[in-house]
Amino acid sequence: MGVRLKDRLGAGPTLVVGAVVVAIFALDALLAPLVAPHDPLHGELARRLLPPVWMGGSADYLLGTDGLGRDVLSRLVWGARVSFGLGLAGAAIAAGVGTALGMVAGWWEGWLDGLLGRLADFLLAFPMLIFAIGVITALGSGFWNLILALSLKSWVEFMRLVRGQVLAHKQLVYVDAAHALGRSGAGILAWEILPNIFHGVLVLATLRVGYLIIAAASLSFLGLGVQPPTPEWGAMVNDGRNFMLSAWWLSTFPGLAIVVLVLGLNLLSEGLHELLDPRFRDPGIPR
Amino acid sequence: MRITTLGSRLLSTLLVMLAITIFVFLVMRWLPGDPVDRILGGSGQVSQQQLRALRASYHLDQPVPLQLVNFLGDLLHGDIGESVVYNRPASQVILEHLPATAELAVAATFFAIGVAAPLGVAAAVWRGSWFDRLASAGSYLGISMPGFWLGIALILVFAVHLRWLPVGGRADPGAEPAGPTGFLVLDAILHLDLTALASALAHLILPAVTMGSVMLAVLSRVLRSSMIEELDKEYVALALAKGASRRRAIVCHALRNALIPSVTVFGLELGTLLGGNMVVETVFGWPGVGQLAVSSIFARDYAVVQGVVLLYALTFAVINLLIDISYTKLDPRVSF
Repeated sequence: MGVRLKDRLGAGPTLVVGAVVVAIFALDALLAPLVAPHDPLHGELARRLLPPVWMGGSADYLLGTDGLGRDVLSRLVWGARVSFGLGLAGAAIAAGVGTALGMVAGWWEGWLDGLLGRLADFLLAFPMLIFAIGVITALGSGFWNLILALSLKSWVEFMRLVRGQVLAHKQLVYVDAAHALGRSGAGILAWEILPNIFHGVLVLATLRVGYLIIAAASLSFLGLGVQPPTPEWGAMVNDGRNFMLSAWWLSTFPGLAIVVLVLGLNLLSEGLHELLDPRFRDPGIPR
Repeated sequence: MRITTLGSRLLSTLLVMLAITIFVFLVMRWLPGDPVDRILGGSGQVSQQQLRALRASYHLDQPVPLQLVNFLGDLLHGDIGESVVYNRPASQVILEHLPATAELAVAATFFAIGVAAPLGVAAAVWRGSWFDRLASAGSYLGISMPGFWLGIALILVFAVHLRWLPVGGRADPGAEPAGPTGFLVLDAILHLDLTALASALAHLILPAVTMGSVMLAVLSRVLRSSMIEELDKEYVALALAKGASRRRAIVCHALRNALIPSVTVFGLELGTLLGGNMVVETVFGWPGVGQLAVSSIFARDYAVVQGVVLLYALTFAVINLLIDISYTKLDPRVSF
């Protein structure tokens, strides 16, 4: 077993690279108070717009300072908490709600299934940002409203995925066996089917975290998401636009952070897919 | 058979469009204060009687279901209310901004398809080569890159540093053709005005590349994998055995079939592209519907926001319908 897992891991450098990148950002977000050299909200105007250290800046402010004299590196580190947190929370809520509803719809079918299907058609008719803007216009901006706006639409993909899987698995022999053993419908869903379809949910969720990070950052960039002075990567890129000619690093570094984290998440998702999906397993290995 | 399925597809599109419209109506009613409060902006200079009269003139004194019926009726006449910023019908304001957005969306789509098609086919034909790996890495990067940041990076490199292209806007001042269509590139050609054409094209390049990048990345990946699948099938070998050239076997036989999954993805990505246009238009100061939407949210110009959200969602619903219908042209096995 150990050898098999090692073989599989060896076959997927995408998984390792993705996992390492995501782990670094996760640690950074968790340990922000320890990692960040300065207070992300405190600025000294006397030190404003210092360039990064390799361009003649101070070693105290490795990536320079912004227009209010705040340390860019510290804001990046704390921003991981906000941006990664937004993506993670949005995807987790969407995955939880979508999986539960998908199981219900796929198992019991009937009118509820039809209703959820129509609701999905309706939600899929909106591009993500347009839908989020509608919700935010009604509810106002801010961290929690942003999560609500993002997850209110994202559960649909999970619902569709899980519903289809449950419909397929319902026909399989192991479900009949569980029935014969006297398990209830809810018990079979939770203890028999869910473990068998969970890898798909995990792969999709990893992918959605990256997507939601970009969506949340885009809204914050437009001024509709997380509000200043909270350090959020999209809002930081927007702040930096005012200093595009004099201080290019202000927009560049937070954007780069988004690209690297989302790239890591996409690689991790692809790697998990290769690792967990039976169709990718080596057919030579007896099962 | 054919007519009934097409009919039910049309009907479900109409139902989705109706649901979207009702949703937008309800969200707008949910907002604090009614449109009269918003128009007056809390100026407090009006009597209760005037307020009542104003409310009645906007039908706000009626029960909500009746308001909804009125709203739908007005909508069919193209009336979505008055813009409090422009003091003109919101539909008129949106229509004025539409050509700029449409021009950019078309340019971005052309860019994405124009690059993705040869890229995806070449990567599939030479699968495993360094070119394939490079294209794959590039598409991963394209998917992971937020549009607002790519736009800023392109401005920094090509406009600020190299000074090859303009920073933003649609045309150089004075080089805007007063044309009939509102599409600057088209108008410049109609007026045979080369300076205006050069200016319009130069302004179009960076925003179009920014907006099309995600679609390019996704399309080239999908096309690559469906091309690989098709190239392995027997009919391609048969076409080669019958003496078809390699180029003909790839383009006329395999590509045609590989296009079907790409068309689905294209429809989905067109929605992402439309949604992304608020961001791209804001970055490049492009005077289109996306930028109008963002500024209207900040100005609390809800009639315009409502109109733009409706416009996007309805456009997307129609695109999805057209995509479904287009399958019949591409795949003879699918018919409505």
